[in-house]
Amino acid sequence: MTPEALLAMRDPLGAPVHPLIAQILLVVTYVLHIFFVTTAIGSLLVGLYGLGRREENWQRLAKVAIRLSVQATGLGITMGIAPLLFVQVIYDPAWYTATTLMGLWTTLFIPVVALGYLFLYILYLRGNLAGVGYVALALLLLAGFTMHSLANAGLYPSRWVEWYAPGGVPDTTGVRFYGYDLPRFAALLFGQAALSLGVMLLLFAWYFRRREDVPQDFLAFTQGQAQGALRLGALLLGAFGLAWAFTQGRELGLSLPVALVALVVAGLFYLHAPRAKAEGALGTLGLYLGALLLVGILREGMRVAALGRMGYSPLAYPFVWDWGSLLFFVATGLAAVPVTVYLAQVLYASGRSKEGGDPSSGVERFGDLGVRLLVGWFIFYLGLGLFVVVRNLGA
Amino acid sequence: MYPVWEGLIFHSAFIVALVAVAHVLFSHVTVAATWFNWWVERKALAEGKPYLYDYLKASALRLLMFAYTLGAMFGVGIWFSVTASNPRGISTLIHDFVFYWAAEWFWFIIDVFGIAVYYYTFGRVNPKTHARIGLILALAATGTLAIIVGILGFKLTPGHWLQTGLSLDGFYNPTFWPMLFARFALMFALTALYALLVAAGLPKDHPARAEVVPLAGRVGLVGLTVGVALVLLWYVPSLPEHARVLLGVPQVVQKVFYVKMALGVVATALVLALALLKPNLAARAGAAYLALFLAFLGLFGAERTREAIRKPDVVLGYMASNQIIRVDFAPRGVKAEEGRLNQEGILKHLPFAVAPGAKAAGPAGGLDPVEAGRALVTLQCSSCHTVSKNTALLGGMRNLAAMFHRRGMTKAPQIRAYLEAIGGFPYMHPVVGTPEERDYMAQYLERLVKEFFPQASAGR
Repeated sequence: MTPEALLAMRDPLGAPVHPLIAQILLVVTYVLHIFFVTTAIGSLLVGLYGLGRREENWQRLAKVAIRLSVQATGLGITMGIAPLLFVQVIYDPAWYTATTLMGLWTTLFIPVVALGYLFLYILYLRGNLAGVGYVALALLLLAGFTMHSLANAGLYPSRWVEWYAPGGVPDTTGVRFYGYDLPRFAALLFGQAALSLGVMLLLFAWYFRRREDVPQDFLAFTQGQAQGALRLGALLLGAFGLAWAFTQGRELGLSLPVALVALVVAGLFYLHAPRAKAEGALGTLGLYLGALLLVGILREGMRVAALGRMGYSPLAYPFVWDWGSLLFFVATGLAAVPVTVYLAQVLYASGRSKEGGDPSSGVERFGDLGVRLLVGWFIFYLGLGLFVVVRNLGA
Repeated sequence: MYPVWEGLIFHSAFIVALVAVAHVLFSHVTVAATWFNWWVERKALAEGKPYLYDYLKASALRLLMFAYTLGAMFGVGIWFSVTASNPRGISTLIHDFVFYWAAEWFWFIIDVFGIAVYYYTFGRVNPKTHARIGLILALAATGTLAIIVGILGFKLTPGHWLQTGLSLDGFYNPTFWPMLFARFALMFALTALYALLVAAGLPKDHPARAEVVPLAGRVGLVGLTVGVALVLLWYVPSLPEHARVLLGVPQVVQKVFYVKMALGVVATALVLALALLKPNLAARAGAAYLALFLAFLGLFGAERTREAIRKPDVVLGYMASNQIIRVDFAPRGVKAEEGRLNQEGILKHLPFAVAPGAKAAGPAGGLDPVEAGRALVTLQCSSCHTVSKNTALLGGMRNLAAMFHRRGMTKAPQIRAYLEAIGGFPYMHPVVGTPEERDYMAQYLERLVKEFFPQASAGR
């Protein structure tokens, strides 16, 4: 693969916005995605562990964790759509090469996740089928490893042709994994899974702290497990992060930044763990999102550096301003974001007591506004379409 | 150009079709079920029929478990399977419509989060608030349909985009309006079948069955009638002439697909009519599952036909199925690739066409001509045809070896002559490459025929 060939693989249509915008959106949406994905894995692991314990608190926590895992899996997949979109806009040569090299795993990715999700749901509904849960875990880990390999294979353009055609004969079956780095996989999946779990358990204890039907000792137990998860996450991320620095980090000449980020995040949460209390759960969440952003930036930095050696810069990606598509995106965001906030407010209100609870009148009015915004979006959508039709009549 | 993934056991295009139809089934049910449930919930509120909530809860749980999350997942699944099988095709869509998809992502979040809120707040918030969540779900789910229709239609009818390069022109393309309304109507037929399935799960004497089943029959029949009428009277006439011609070419759209479509429509209509006339008979899980299966077959036929009549392009008039850009596209300064590749050769220009130094023997300047031919055939033909034993389960998809064998072309010169002729077919573009590269292709295809039909080849 020559630098010229790599550049020629970019889509000739170019990006519809300045590539910096796509790059920023890629990192920000990745943070949301990985937060839910690692929450799903972490909570499933603790749920399965809890099922094996006899203590009431563990049994209770296991149920909470498994329910959390189900919802986090759905949201993780949904959130993953956005970074998946943006990586294709400015890193198409790397992404498409990786997905075709591992074509079988690329296509199996969603069936594997879907099957894992279904097994997880069976575990949630039946409550005590740990074996089903382990199958779900294995499937979700396979999906995670697949995505890890797809992201990593794109970092090695100099090896692509040899991977595809070892000895000069193309292999078109796509059955092998390429580019994976196990320390990176362990640091970013298991390390972050424990941290995400810790943050989520703290949020749980914070949310239910005023519910009279939820025993205080269970909440204290949950807080204790959250602190343990944060400590464990810090240790895993630190240890595997260092191993990552000396494997892939060294290969790409980036040992120092990888080690620094891993140690900073690990140190931060190791020190924070004993002080992490339910009352300060929102602060811990903020801290964690900041840490995920730092890791996200590191990942992108590695991609930029690895491809940069071949003369590829995402910021030099050709682009045109396609105002129509931006208008569409902004208008949809203006309608959808308030509605999402409203739904969160309803959910928040409904869990305030054992019997449920109504949102305040202010929230109800916000809900009415949300419905009007959605109806307004359809008027915008159909109106824009009619405008385009009329404009093209004479063309 | 990227590495080619042929598929394994199953052809990549077949995998795409399976995932796509699963998505269509889930997602269509998702959209219309939200409207149907909102209507039932309004009825429960306005007419004081709290027992209808039992139906709504049962429906919402299944939507939460299957339709929403799996629907969204299989939507992403289409992406992944298309990416692996035709990366430059999806790249064209992404580089045009990334922000439309990003807009749809907002709706996905409301759908997946909203159905969980909807399900978990049954009886925990006041009925009016709950009904509003139902309405929000219906609107957001319809938003996903509203967006994807523009991108789907674009591939077959890019319309003014070919002149302007503006995404809005491609989105609101000539088949956008009929496809939008036809899909919206038809999804009520699928939802009605789903409603029967949910109702069948309620106790036999549950009063909700008596209310929901005939309502589903009525709604579904209206949706089916309007949808089929829109397809036949508006969508098909909106197709470009090229596509309408292909509808009548049996090699492109085999008769069996029309049979599947008709079967799906008739079976759905019969079950829905039964729901209206004999509700007790229709509200059986077996009947609903059978009808859903036949509807799935019908959908498979319809989606497959829509894909087939776009051939030989992946974006009609812009990019061929083999991922080679056919035309100069002035609005974005894109140059046609075909001419240059014919003149200078594919092997020289495409990094993944074949690895340098492949089997150093042979007359082709350091390349094994048969292996070089395999790379060229894989690149140009494998989007639509089985070109090796990798994907030959049950014969594979339009197996090239079987086609040549059937036509008595088992030797390279005959195959070479055929390759020169295929540009004249209405659903094929000319083979790309230098004359020497076409020779390599013919040599590989001769070997392919021998692999599949050793005796027949030896006897000729």
